[in-house]
Formats: sequence, structure tokens, C-alpha cells
Amino acid sequence: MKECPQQNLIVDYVFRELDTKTKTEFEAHLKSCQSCQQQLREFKAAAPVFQKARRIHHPKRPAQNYYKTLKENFYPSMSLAQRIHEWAADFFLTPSIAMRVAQAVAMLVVGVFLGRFLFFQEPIPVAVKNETSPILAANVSDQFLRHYLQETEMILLDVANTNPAEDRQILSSVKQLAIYRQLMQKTILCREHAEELNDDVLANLINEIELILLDLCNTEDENLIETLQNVRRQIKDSHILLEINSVESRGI
Amino acid sequence: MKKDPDAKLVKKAKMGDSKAFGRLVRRYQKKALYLAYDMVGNYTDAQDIAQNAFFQAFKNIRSFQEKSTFSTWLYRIIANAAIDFQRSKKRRQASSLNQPAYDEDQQIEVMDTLPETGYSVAEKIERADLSRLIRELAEQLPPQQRAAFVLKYFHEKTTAEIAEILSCDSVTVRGHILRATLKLRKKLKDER
Repeated sequence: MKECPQQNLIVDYVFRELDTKTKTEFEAHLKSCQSCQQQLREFKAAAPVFQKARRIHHPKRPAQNYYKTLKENFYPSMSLAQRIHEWAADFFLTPSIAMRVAQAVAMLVVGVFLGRFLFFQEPIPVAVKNETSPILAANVSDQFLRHYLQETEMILLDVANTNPAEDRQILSSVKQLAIYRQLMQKTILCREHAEELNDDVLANLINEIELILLDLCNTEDENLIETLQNVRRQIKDSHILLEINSVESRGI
Repeated sequence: MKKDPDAKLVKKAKMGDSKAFGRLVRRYQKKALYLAYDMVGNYTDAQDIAQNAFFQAFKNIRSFQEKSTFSTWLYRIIANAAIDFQRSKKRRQASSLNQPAYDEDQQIEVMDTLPETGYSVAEKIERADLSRLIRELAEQLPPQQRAAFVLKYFHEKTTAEIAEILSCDSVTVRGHILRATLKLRKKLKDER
């Protein structure tokens, strides 16, 4: 059979080294060339057999002198210190891109850790805040009581209209808790004032307010939704907002 | 040309850093020996060839222009040395026909060459026998053909890489591989 000038491409075709265009052209040629078809069949049958022969086990014994000579001439054994030095030089002086990325990440982590450790300040506890602005019993007056009722009414209205799922962050915030606690302090003072005035309706109202505020003050992230739902129910069931309104309109 | 994974070490070695060259040697000493062995067929000569290749590479590293990868350059040195060795061996054999074709001291027991894989002993022996037979038959190929054959099948080089190593064009390499494969297939059939 006459030799085809394209038959050499069989090698790259079988080993999948042809680019797409040449491959397509060669496949088209194969259809019409019997010589190439024959060669391809034979080559395909032989190639895997020869590839298997690659996996010969090379024994170390005959090559020991070779490795010894190379070692003596090119890489005499290094001490541990030298090995460490070499490794460190690779790591710090000529790092690969992957190593540089790893170094950057490590530095970032260390930076964040140190930053948190050195500069992060705990928020001032609410109790301490309250202590810095004590409400003196001497200041309690009828006007103070009216302000207290207005303030309480607004807070309770807010709570009644709040959706716990959406306003979770606001309700559990330190600032909000501080307001509730401040109101609690005022509640105690106002109740005393109400008792002094012999106003039982007002004293009862303040007692009810105290219970609700107590719940609000004890609100924590874990029980936020549950507590708020209770408080909202309490506000609704006790008609406390209505009562506050009626006391306000009646006058103290 | 693909990026040379040894580029950094080569640069250092070029500047006279013998440790860098030592690391290149460590990296390629096995492959160099195996290539030389695959091309000449015995360990004594393979060791000499691979060893000399490293000495030559060390001597000429400054003139290495990095147009190819270091491994291709080293393979070229080994392949050229092995081809020259085979040619001179043939001449020697022609002048003294009584000399044995290989160094009998270096013959390895069949059991030594068994690959440590999950094959049964019978399979291992069969595979080892076949490997040995193919390698023996490959010895009969002309040096260039044998080099192309060995690089393709035993060292998994692409045609382009073989062309670089043997300093010839891809068409010649394909021709060598095709002819060597078909020739050995026929011989293998006859032997079996």
C-alpha cells in the first residue's frame, strides 16, 4: 500500500495532541484514506502495550554509586540549621504567590486579633450610666409625674406597635434598655409620690406600669420575641394606655 | 513555551549558587537516570551518562538561554549523550563481533523488576517479561527512533517536547514514533 503523507499525524491523533482544526481535517481525511485507516488500527493496537512497558520498577541497588557521586559533588549533606535557613529563605525571601497570599491572610488574622485585644472597649454598663445621672427624690413633683406618665405612654405605645421580628436590634439595644431602666427608677419615685398624694388609682397604675417595665428591663436577646409578645398582650389586656390617658386628662 | 517550574533555581544557579544547582540535581537525578537507562539499556552506562549530563549542565548553566525549560535542556543533554553512546557502541560491536551486546554484570533479576502494584505474581511476571522484551526489542531501533520512542512511551513527553529535546521538527518526531511503534509491534508479534 502506498504511504500517505499525512500518516504521521496518526501519532498525535492517538495521543490527543492535535488542535481541533487539524483533528477535524484529519478525521475527514481518514474516512477516505485506506492506508491511514490501516496504520491507525495497527498503531492503536500497539500503543497501549508499549505504554504499559513504561511501568518498570527500577531497583536502587545498581544506582547507589550514582546517587552517592551526585550527592558528594552537588548537594553535600546539610546540618539542621542549614536546612532551616534554606527553608526560611524560601519562605520569606522568595515566596511563591500562594505563599504570599497565605502570609497576607495570616497577617490579617493576627492584626484583627491584636486589634480586638488592644483597642476594643466594652460598652459602658447601663447601670453605671444610670448612676451618673441619679434622679433625686427631692426633684419629684406633680410635673415630674406628668412627664413620667407621658414618657411611659410613648414607650408603651412604641412597644405595642413594634414588630419584634423587624425591630429586634432596636429593642435589645443598650440605649433602649437604659431608657427602660431609667423609667423604672422614675417609677419607684413616682409611686412614692402617688402614695404621698393618697392617689390609689395613680398608685395602682404605676404598679401596673412597673410590672411591664420590669419585663422590658429583663429582656434578653434569647427571649426577646417571647417577652415582647407577652408585654404587648399585657398592654392590650390591661388597657393601660387608656388608663394613663384617663389619669392624664383627669389631672394630678 | 510553558512556564518553567525550575526558573528560580536556574537563575540562582546561573549566578553561581551551587546549592540551587544541587536542588535541581536532587529534583532530576532519578528521571535522568531512568531516561539514560531507557536509552542505553544498562545501569553502568546509564549512570555514567546521567552523571556526566549533570556535570555538563553545571559547567554550561550560564550559557543556558532558557528558551526551553531546564528539564528539556537536561533531557537534551542526556539524549544526545545516549545517542552518541549507542552509535559508538555499534561501531565498537562492528569492530569486535565477539563482544557481548550488554554488560552481563548489570543484568537485573526478573523478580527485581517487578512493579510493586496490586497485580498477582503471575501477572507481575507477565508484565515484567513483556516490559523486558519491549525494552530489548527497542534496543534494535536506530538511536534517534529509540530516543523518540522512549520519550513518548516511557517518559510521556508530547511530540513538541520530544522535538525540542531531540532538536528536530515535529514531523520527524512523529515519523520516528510511528515507524518505531509499527516496527516493534511486528517484532513483538514474531517473538510471541
